[in-house]
Amino acid sequence: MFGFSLSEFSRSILGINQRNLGFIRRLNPPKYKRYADDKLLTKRILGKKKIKTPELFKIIRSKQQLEYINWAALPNSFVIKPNKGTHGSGIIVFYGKKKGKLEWIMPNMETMNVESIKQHVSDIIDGKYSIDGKADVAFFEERVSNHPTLKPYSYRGIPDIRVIVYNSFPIMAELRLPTRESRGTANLHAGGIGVGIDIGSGVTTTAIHRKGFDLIGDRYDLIEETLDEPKLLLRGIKIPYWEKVLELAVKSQQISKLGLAGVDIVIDKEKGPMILELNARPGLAIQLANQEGLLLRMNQVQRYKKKKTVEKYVAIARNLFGGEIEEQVENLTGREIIGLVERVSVSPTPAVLDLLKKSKKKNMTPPKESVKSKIDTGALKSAIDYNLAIALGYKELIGIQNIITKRYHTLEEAHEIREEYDEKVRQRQFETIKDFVVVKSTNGYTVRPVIEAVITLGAVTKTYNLNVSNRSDLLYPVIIGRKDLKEFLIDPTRVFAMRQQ
Amino acid sequence: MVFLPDVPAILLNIPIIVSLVAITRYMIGFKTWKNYPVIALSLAYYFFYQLLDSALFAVVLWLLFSLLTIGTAVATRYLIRRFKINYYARVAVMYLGATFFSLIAMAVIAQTSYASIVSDHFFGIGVFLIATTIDELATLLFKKDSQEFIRRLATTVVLSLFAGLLITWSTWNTFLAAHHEVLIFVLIVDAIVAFWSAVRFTELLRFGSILKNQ
Repeated sequence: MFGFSLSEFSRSILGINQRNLGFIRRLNPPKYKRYADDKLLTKRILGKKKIKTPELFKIIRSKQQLEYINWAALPNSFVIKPNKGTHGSGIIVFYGKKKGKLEWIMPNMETMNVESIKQHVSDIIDGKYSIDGKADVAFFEERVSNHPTLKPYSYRGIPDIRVIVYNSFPIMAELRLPTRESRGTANLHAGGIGVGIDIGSGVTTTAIHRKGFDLIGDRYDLIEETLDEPKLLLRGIKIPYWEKVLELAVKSQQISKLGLAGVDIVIDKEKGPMILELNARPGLAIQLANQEGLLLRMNQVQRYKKKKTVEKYVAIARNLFGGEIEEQVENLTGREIIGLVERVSVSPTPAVLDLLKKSKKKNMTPPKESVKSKIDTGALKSAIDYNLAIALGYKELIGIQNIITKRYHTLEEAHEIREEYDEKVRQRQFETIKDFVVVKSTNGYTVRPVIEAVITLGAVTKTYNLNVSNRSDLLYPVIIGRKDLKEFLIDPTRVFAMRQQ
Repeated sequence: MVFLPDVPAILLNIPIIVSLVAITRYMIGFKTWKNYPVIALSLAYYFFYQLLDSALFAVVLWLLFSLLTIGTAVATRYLIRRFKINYYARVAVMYLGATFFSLIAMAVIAQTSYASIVSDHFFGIGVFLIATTIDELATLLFKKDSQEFIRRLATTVVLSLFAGLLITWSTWNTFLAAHHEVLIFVLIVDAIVAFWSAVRFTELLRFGSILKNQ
């Protein structure tokens, strides 16, 4: 009926009922939710832990206080916010001041004079924008300077980054861009653009913008470019300070003691990433911006135990949820992206398997080993551990163990032995050994037999020529060298990339 | 003194109406504009029905006054939005605007062959109930954007009318009077809705594109 399976939907997409009952009630106790709803308290708590937030200029708790404000002392650009506002309501950004006048310019180029500002602050104090409808407090804070990387994409406002942090794991992120339609605010409801971010690389992926009126709720179109001139591609923006952004989000969530939090971060041109606010009930449209479900990611991190450092949580999340960009690169180049360490499955070639069947029972289970392999761009050829090769059925190696382990002081000596054994290969004295090679090592030279084995790395299964050596005291029983890496691109920042994909 | 025709029926229907609001919100995904406006508007319909004894005329009168009250309150708010006046004073002016236009409507009705209904107690209570929803309307207007306001307004009006038709359905009321145990069923439904953590119907439409695009 819907064009997708309902079980798949409920496995991956987080709905508002489940968010509230399954996560917020359980993980965000009312006490800590109150902290997050109170922007000034959040600022104070984060400030104590040396986490940067925009500078606070003035707090206005009563209407009488408005009469004693020195308006001329206010800077040219600042922001007015209700302390307990929701969905960005009541926030006004002033990004300039009229020369010689006490009038400030808003993103839509309209101006507000002191009387209008007083009125707006009065409304805030009356509770017009407060989350619970009760009397509120207004405050003036610093307007963040736009970072040059993000400036071209935002219309006269400051873009922010929303990171969803679940039990210390940054599971999803979205860049929110102000538009002319949203009047310079980064609110998606108001017409801002939401752009999904690949957690692994900090590069933007898909983007959404709210459709026109729809009775069932806010619905979004997928878009490719910014809405205002100049039209710029929204895919592929590299978020500055990405690692720091994620670490800051995780730290803030841990300080707030909220189990599930939406952390809003702005990037200042000079001060770098700063926390704008914490959200105890993060919105779900971020799933549309990323074209992926939150529930799926929450389940993925649940199997991990508590980690000691913020950096570890970030590293795990980047490994787990990075991949969007890799997928695009893979599609473009036709090559798979792998990390420096990958798990591979190794099995004998069909010819060796036939020999094994002849010597043993016909119905024997074919030997197959799953082992860690080092992707070694410093080595030309691939190699396998002697004991692993024996376990796979290359029993002929036992007879030449002394050749493999022996070290030769001169190259000539080693080549002499190699030629002797190569001759044996030519005379078909070996059935599973294809060749012998001389390898230079720190203690001299070794002669290594070469066998053929089938290795599956990622989606690629092929026959590799593997030098056999004793690697029992080394971490990785298999090394994949440059010669066998033509089908891959290597990301040196990752390990076990294939398993995650 | 005004005697309500069927107080037990009204009382028995109220928890059912509120359960409908909860089902509409948590299972279907349409938000109303809180519980009180739905109850007040449906009761207003009930009184108009008692007055006119015709579902069709009651619907027309109810729609006329509901839309007039809501419409004038919204229009008043729009007209005074540029004046620098305090929030509660602004809500008070919205009440004033709605009252003024309700009085004009009553004056117009008084000139027609339906003049007698204007002086009826049931009419007075119905109009009063509709007017009491302005406060919630103002909260919604100031807090939500126009799209969300229209969505909630539409759901509230439709659900209120449905609830009003339910309260005035004699077969339903007779059944309810004879089988109070229906309330146990309502309690079970409330319990199911209370623990309903599955997806809302509208979310299937909103987020379904994620799976389709994959």
